[in-house]
Amino acid sequence: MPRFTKKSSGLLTSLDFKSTGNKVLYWGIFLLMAIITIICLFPPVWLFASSVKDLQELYSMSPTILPKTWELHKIIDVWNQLHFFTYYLNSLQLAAGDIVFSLVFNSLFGFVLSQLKPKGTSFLMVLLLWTLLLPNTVNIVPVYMNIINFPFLHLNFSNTFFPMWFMSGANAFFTLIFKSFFDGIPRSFTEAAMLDGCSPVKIFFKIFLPLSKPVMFVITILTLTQSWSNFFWPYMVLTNQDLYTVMIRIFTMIPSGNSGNGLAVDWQMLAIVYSMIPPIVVFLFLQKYIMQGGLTLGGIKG
Amino acid sequence: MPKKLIILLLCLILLISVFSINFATAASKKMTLVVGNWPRENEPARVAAFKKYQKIMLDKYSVEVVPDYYQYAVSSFLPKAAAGTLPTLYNSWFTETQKIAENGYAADITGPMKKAGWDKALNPQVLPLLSYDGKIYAVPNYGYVQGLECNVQLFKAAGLVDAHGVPKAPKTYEELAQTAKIIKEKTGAAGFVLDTNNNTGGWHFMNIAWSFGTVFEKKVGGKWTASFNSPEGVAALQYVKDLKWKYKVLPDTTLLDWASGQQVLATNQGAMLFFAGTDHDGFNFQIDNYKINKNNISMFSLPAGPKGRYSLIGGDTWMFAPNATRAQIDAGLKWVELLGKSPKFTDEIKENEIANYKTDVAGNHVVGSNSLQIWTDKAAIKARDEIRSKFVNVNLALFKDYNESKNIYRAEEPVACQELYKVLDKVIQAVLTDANADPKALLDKAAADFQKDVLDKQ
Amino acid sequence: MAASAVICISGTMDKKVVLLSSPQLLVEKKINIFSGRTFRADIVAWLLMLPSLLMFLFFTWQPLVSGILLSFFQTKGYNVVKFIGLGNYQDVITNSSFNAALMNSVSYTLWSLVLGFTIPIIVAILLNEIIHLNGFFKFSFYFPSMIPGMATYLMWAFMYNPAKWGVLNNILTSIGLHPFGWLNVPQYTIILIVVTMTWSAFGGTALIYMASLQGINQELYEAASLDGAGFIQKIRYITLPNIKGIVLLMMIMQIITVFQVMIQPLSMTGGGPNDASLSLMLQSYLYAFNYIKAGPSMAVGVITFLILIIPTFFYFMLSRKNEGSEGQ
Repeated sequence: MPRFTKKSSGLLTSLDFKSTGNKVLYWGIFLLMAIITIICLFPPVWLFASSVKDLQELYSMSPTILPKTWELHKIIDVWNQLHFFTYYLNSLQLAAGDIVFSLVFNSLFGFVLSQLKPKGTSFLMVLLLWTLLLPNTVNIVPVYMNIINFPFLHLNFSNTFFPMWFMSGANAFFTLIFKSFFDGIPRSFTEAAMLDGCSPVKIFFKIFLPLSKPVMFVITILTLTQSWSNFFWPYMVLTNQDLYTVMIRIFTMIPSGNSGNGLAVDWQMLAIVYSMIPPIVVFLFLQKYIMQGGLTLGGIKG
Repeated sequence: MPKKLIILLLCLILLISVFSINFATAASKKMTLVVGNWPRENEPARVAAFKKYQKIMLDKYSVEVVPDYYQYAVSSFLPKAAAGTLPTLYNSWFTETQKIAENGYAADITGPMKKAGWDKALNPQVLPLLSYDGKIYAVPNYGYVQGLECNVQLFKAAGLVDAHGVPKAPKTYEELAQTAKIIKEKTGAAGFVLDTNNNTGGWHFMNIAWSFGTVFEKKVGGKWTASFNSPEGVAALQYVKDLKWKYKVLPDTTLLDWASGQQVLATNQGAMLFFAGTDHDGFNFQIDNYKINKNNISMFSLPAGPKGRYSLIGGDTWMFAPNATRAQIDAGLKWVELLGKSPKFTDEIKENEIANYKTDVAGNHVVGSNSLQIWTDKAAIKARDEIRSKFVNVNLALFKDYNESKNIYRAEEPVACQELYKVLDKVIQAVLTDANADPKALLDKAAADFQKDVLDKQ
Repeated sequence: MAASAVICISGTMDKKVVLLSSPQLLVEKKINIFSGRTFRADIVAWLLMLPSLLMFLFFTWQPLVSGILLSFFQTKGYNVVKFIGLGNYQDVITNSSFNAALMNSVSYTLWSLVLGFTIPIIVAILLNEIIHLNGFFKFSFYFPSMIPGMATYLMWAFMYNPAKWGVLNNILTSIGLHPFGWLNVPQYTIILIVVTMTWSAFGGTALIYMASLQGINQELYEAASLDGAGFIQKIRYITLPNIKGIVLLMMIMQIITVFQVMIQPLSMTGGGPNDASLSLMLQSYLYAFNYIKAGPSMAVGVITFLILIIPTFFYFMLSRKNEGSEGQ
């Protein structure tokens, strides 16, 4: 095995592979990894295979793992019957707003904390850190109260996307990421610009935004995937079925209690499959960025 | 200020103004009535019928009916109510009237009901279930009587049918266990399906427990007390436990509710189930979603226990959002009339009913199973029955026992009924998952918990 | 901090690790570079932050404070009626489900330490050795993390279906075993939910460890090899001590996150059978949105909050200490 002779890092290096015991060990580990791979990939594949089975086959007393009857037309039929496109659009609308709020407000906040540092910055930093750390166990009811009757304005944000967007705009983690990213940009830039009489706003847009494209990209992907899988607050806020996101729809199609909301099992399975497709596609195309994007981010942070 | 910031601000202002339109109270000339429980996309015929009623409301009464898909569920009601996003006319259940009215999430409709004379036309057993504190809060949508649904195919396979192909359904709970055992042995399918989850366990258990003589809630000295840990209650629970461990006739799945219980029966994995068959909507869910053939369904009166033969009655209601105006309430009652759910039976409603039965027949749904009679007007009942008899599409022999039931009808418990069901769910789940569970101890604890957590706080 | 963005994708739990182990964030520079700072410049800066601050205020800070305060009030719907001191607390603690919810939350946490915490470490160390198909394995292990949480829970609820057609029972019967009740068997409900959570998250966490394994000095292994150390010994004496810092941080984070578990039991079991999978946060949710009792809901939230404050402090201390010792 030529590859073994080149392996120069890790617990087992080229030297170790001279012993047969270690080779066996290596292939044993390899086998284990292969088994874990199957465990990781099997459930979604099984779900898809079951969803295109004939319903009677699905429930049959002697069940099959792979379908005998491939009713592929169901994929399109159910999609149309459920008007699933609406839920896709809603989810995308939610995600688009989330991304805008997340990029605009967190970066601005991070910029101020990093570069302008007004009086009270250190207090805000401590506040943000604790915001990040403290468990969110008390917030559910008060946040909900704010949503249905916003303080001072007395607006009811039910059945709008705004509560989720606002929450994206107040993301302590992203703010701190932006802050630490901007910390890595030489201050001489800002200083020189300020001396030239540039306003902070101009500095932000002219210097910092163009420089922060990589971090913006990473945060966009993060927000997109998080937003797509966001369930709890959309479920609480969007009670009108025309506004349901994909996650709300798949949750509400499980029959529960005495309500006839539920759908047949194969329909539920197909709907779950639909809900997985966008993130999987994103992952297939942007796999490199998603899994290794950190190196970019970390590299700049130094 | 740089251009970009200005653009950004403008965008924000635009966004905010766009969504604030939603908050502006619609000041259109026509009155609007938001109606919940609108049929969904997978029921095109019903959607078409509702559209027709919508047009009638607009033409005849100048009321704009706005569809809303909200369907009552314990888990989603409160957020909706508190956020003020309930439809003006929303559906609920008989058991919920008290809780909803008590929390101020429904409008008092005593006046309009009296004016329409509907309060007098109501089945006296139903009226208390629609009232709280002497005022009426709900209009009944439909009522049901619980019966025993049988899967004809499995009864046949087990050789348990008479010469006409009608299942030999059990008349007592003892027989039920024996019948179930035979089916299990002969077919491998579960003989009996008992719901256990999402409050349906307690709901169905009522039938058994009453027949064993259990009293659930007693008023002692002006205070409600939980009394279901009596020997009768214990015997009823022991019976449930025996179904699982002694007779071994229950399905493998323990957590079953209204929908998943039907799934077991409809997919030929269970032979008997407590179920409420109603006119129009009774079996649609299992036929549409789990593809059971309507001819495979048979309904019987619930079996008798040592202390009598009881059937639980309950139903679905219409309630009005707390901010509904008097005019909206009147319009809402007109809507209920159009749906054919009122005591009135005019020619217009007759026409609608004929259309509804045609839809039922076209959808291969059951026509021939009775609902609970909510309105007492004999003439209207007869007129309806006459129309229905023309559309019956099942072998009525399979429904005879249920339709002509002699059981004692009993309404659901008066206080905190869904909470009681929830407590009982847990007890039932416990005896079905643990072969060594002690029914007496479980009920003692459940009664104490229910007393402390719920009744004492009333 | 090469691992940072890798980490942040893999879910909320891991986020905090990165930030706190990045020293720049904690050591706030006291010296202001703009010596000519004016009052006016400060105003502009605060104006720029204002929208962000308002959003933080109304969706994080004020809810926390008012949640704690309102837990001492009687509520009707979501309206505050009157101060009742510890009434809500007494109400929730004496509720028959409270003990179950508390013990279950602990049980979730313990099982997640057994499964969710150790598996990524083992996988990371082993996968780091693999030179064949390494990229493919990483891809596959990370794959479940990309599936939205709700889809994962519902999918696994199907896998665990106790009827004969459930896929796991299907496998059991095909190798000659009896079908199993899975989530319906109270003793196993929590474990199986934790298995689901682990399936979903282990890949992302393993990547974090792998990034940190890259930092181990290769000479240490070589020296150990020359001394005749075996595979296990190397892991024990070199690998683990070298990643101890991040391992400890991840462990505490795991405790804090899993103790708050809510959506998983909500979507998979509804807390059943017989409260076997009810958690504190699920109880809080049920109070708030199913039982029309906002006050008790917040009381449960505050109790959970108080329990979690302890590990949070630990976490904070540890992360500072780590920065000190790693001293870049």
